[in-house]
Amino acid sequence: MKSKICHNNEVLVDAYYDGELSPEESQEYKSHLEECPECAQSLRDYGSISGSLADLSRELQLGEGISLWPEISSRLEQEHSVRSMKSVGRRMFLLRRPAWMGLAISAAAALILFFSGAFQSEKLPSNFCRIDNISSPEHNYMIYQDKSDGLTIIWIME
Amino acid sequence: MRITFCVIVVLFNLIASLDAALGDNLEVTIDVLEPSEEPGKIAPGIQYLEDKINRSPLKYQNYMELASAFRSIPQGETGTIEFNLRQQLKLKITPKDLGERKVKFSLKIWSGGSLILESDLTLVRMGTVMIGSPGNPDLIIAISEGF
Repeated sequence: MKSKICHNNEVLVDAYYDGELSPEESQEYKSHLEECPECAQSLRDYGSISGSLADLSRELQLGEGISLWPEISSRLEQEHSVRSMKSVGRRMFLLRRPAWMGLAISAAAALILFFSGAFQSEKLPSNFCRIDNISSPEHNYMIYQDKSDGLTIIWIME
Repeated sequence: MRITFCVIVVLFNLIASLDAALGDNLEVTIDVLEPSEEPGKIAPGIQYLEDKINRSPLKYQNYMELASAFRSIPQGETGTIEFNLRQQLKLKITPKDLGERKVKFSLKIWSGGSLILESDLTLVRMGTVMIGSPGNPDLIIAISEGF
């Protein structure tokens, strides 16, 4: 016939392993285990499972041997990236919603470029002059061009 | 997207039309100077040339203004300017391309009936180019745009 301890064995095994039993309770439980092979076997099974879990825990936390953590970590990061992209997509979609916004941005950009002089080429000297073609049928000529302001003097000689 | 593209095209057209509107005519001023070694000053009418002359290799002591003319010449037309001085000077100026910042024109100069210079010039707006004409005395023709 099973005793009261046998009926509560599952709870008592946990408490015994976790050191939650008082010295008196612990001594009484040990005495019972000597007399009850079923409870003793339950304690050994519990110990075996607990030991295996402890080994697995050490592997995962300390990286010893085969560890699942890198794989789990990688998958978590991938999932986080996908969620972030979806989130950005939603924000971009929200920005595109107003039809006038694209128009306003384009017009503003064009005006900024226009007034900033982006369409203009480099600054010309104050008297820039380029001689594209020159001829003097009866005379020789000299050409002077000032380096600073570009002033050009065409001097036709006798 | 199509509306944005249309707006950009319209803005470019506005800029192009503004550029064309600014450059309808070539506003050209011609000053004829007689340089000499006699002490003197630059004539009041050509004070705007003083700084340019002082920085040039021209080392005359005196610059007398003999004549001046202004012409507003539309693109595609030719402006003729004649000065009846001791040596007759005749200039023909034809605008070829009038941009916002630069003007391109052809220039022909006759002195005493003979062609002394034929040239195509690109000049910055508000800029000056000078031509020294041989003679007795020598003459300097200052051609300025936009004055």
